[in-house]
Amino acid sequence: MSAVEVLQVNVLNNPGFFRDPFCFEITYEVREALQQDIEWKVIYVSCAKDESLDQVLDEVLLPADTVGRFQFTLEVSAPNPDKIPSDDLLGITAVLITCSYKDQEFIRIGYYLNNEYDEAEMNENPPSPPLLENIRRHIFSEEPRVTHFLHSFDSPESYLDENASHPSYNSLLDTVEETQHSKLKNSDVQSSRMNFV
Amino acid sequence: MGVAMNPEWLTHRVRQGQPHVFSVDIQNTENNPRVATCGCDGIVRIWFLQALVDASKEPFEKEPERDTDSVQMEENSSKENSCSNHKIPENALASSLSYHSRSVNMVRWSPQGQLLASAGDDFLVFIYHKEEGRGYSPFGSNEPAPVENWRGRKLSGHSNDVLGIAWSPCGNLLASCSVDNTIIIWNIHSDTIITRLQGHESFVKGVSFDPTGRFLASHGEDLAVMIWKTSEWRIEKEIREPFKESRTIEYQKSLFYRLDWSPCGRDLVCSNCLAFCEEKRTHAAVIFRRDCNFEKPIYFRSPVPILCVRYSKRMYKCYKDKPVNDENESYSALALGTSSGALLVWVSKSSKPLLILKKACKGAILDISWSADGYSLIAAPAIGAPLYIRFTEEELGYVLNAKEEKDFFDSVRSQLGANYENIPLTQSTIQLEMERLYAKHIQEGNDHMSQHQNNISQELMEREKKSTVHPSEQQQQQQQREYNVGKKRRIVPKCLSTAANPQESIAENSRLTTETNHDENHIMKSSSSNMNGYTSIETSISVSPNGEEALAKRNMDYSFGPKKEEESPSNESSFFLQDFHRKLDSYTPTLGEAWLFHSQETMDNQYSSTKLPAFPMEWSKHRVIDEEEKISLRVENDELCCIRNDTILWQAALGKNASPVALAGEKTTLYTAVTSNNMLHLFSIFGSRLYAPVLLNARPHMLQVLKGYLFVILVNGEMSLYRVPQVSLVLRTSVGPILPEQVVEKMGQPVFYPPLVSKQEDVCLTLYNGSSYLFQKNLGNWICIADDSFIHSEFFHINFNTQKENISPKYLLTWFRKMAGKTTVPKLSNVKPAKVFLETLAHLETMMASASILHSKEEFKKLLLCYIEKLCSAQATQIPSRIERLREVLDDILQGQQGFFSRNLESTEKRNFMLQVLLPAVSKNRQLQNIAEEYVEKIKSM
Repeated sequence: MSAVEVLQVNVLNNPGFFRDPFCFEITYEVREALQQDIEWKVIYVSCAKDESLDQVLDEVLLPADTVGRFQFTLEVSAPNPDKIPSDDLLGITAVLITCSYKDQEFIRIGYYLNNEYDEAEMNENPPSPPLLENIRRHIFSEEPRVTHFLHSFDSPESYLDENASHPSYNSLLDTVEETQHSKLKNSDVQSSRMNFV
Repeated sequence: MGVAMNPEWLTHRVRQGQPHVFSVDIQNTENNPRVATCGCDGIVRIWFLQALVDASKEPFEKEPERDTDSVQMEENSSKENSCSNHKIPENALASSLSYHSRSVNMVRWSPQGQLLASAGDDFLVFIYHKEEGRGYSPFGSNEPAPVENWRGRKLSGHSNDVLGIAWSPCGNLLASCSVDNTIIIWNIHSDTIITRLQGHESFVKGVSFDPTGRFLASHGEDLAVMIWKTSEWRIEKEIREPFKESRTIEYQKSLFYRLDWSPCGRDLVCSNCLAFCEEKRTHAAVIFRRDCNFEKPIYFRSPVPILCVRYSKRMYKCYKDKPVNDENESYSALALGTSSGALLVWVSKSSKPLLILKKACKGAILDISWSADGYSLIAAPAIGAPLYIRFTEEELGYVLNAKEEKDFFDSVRSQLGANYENIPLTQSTIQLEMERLYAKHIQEGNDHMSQHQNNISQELMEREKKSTVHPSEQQQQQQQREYNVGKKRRIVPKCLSTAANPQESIAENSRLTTETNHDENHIMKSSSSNMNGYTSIETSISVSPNGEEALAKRNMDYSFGPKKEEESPSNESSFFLQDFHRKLDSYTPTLGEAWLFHSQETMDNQYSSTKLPAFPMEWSKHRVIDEEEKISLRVENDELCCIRNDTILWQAALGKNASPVALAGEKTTLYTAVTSNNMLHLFSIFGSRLYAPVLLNARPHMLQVLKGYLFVILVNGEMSLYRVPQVSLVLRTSVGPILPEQVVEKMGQPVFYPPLVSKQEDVCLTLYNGSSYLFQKNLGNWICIADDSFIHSEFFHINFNTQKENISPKYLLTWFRKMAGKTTVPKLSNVKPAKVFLETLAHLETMMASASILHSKEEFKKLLLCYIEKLCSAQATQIPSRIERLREVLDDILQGQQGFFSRNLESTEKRNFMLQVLLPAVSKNRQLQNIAEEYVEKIKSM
């Protein structure tokens, strides 16, 4: 069981301009009280091909020591345009919201977003230097990509270790139809980054 | 005509995998039942059955081929039901729960229907309950928003995949079986493990409680079906023979071995059997009958493996308007699912299946569930859409009405020796004898009194229900706040709701819950929030509005106080606990007061600053000593007179300028007076001075002459007890430690009842607030023998004041019953029975200790009986260690020489007391019959 589950994320001030802050209203549920704070991060993918250019827009701590449902609004400033390769400033990219506990990520929510000038002509011939005031940002808020990562949280739960499962049972399962026991883990633990178009 | 359909939307799937349903269960309620499903995607979904009913009415509905009379296998084409019904209809989904992180193997509703349990490959079991407010679908799933808000809590104990679960018929226990080869029995009220059953040598793939709650059946991959006896959790029967041929790969691949009991509890049916009968191997489901001691299996043969079996919870009859008799016999309906996706329905009156759907589902049928009305059925397949069938009465038969059903179940169960109320069987004549004794005691007691007791507990239950309050409203946190921790921002979120105690929020009666929110009688106070700013409150304090009333009543008691004080204490120097309690008769404590008294722990400076009110003015000049003989003391012209019937018995001068401030006396001992200069004058009954005037350290607060003793409390709290008439000090101490804090505020009112002195010359003081304290000389401390600590105890108001003369040891129980009947529960709301139970135990323990200190053997025995009864009550099942506690007590009485209990019982009477009183009380609860028996045997062999 994930000790913390994201119930809903509302993307506020969307669409907006490039320089507008990102604003997410996050509703989460603490299902098991945790000893330490959980950490939320908002990461802007500057360049799909180069992970090192990812910008961490903000990191915030939230308490998770009470079981219940909670809501907060996470407002983070826009990415630094100087750190974005000029080719990647416009077009489709992504923003990621991650939540980690004890420096280990357990949920990642990705949104594709599109940056473009409000005038079609400018999109075809982007001005240089870019006119940030005129770049509009649209987050595809209807299609979040949610990835869960197994996390032991405060208790070392043995099922995280695949080998702890009864070996013969697993081997038997392999012979069963693929659909029946395709392990969630395999399907969920994909690449830690989103795959881009 | 009945209908059938395969709703594609009622499935689970992982990404692009095949749709499937691992388990399905229809809520056991006739009013808008829900359906729970689960699968590999780790999600438990709750649907409304009505959605299926509605969907089946759509134009694409299809009549499956069926044949009610013939066994002929028919090709069924219902799966070709090619409508594109993939989209979840509106309002079909009640909730979608993503608590498990792996495949979910089984879902089951509790018998009463309010709770749902699920078991998964993440080694966990979850129990879900419904709450107010909105629900959320798994984020990012694009599912329609759920209609209801269900929340889960986890039960963690297995060390491997959990394959099956089963609820006990009472709904208090949950059994879960696992790949770790064990079965865990959970107490779902405390979420604790009652026991872990070890016996299977391989994965346990199915469990089922019988409807009478006496047995748990489990089926493991070691090809054994075990019948566990729930009273002591040991194996009653191990069935291996019919399954010995089943060690084939196709059965080992079978994920679950789900088994089931017939609704009456007589038959156990198991799936996954390769039977060897009539010289041939054949796949089968196998039925074991309880009345044949689970031997002589009956095979239900099939050309393909039968993977699951499920009985309808209802019984049926052929003719609607005729009563059930030999011609219109009642029968049960059993559904079987095979590995080829065929569904068979078989009714017990016939030797042939009622219905065979050869292609009911695309893949192997893993689970089947019947609706509570007995006419709907859902089969869950490993691949493809589930099958929903709704039968008509003509097809399946007429469901018995409640009375017919109960009569039938009763008759079957009485044959099986298990009655309807889920009480274990008697196992011996000893048990019957004990029960007879107990019943006799009860009958001799006052029947309506015991009924009254029931009422009390019912009242408590009611109150418990009412006190179910949703904390969410009070706890909703204003707004989010934030501050910085080092370089990072730390945000305190807005709290939408916190976890209410699941027991409190069982969705059984949500209407009631909301009503009580507005119950103006309950002033809810939430305790303060924690440092993060949001609340983690479990407790809420409720102040009864009767408080004022009770207080007013108490004030009246105070005004009567002086009158009471005129009554001299008991003539005997020995005393019993009831003497104290008699004085407490009219005292009604309120929660507010009780809490005040608790706070007296914090008073440190009471010793020095104690200031008791002075001796009552009205007694300083005139005091009646003996009402019957009309003896009184009076001060006339600075002279002390003793008067009987208006004639002066004697006169004495008190001295110059000395006006008396306190008078006291006892007609057979002596008379005393204290003058304004704090001099204590002692006079014999004939008026002669017995002693030189004694100088007291302060003004008197209380002056009492008891038989043989003079008792003085000064306003500074000093208490002295003198032996008279040969004046000598017995003890001197301060009453400071036992004084309640607000004594100062109650200036001018009596604080203590007249003291009592025991044979050991210990002093017992009872405060007007109802607390009693004993000063033990050899300990040098006050001992609390009765107070308000256990205000929730059922015996809080026990009245030991019944006519003493009627007591005879033989009728002890009768006598006690009378007293117990007088108990009243304090007017408190928000008290859980569990708390009442614990406090009652603690209270009885303290009272027993008090009785022991006071050497009140009779009382001790009565309290011990109460204590044993409490330990044996059904309610005590919630305390896992109760049997050990009970044994500890019984062992102590039986064997111990210096143990607490044996010390307080005469060794000569122990035996009879155990046999006549205690053990019958134990036997009352048949769950404990083996204990009662064990001790009867032990005693008899001694």
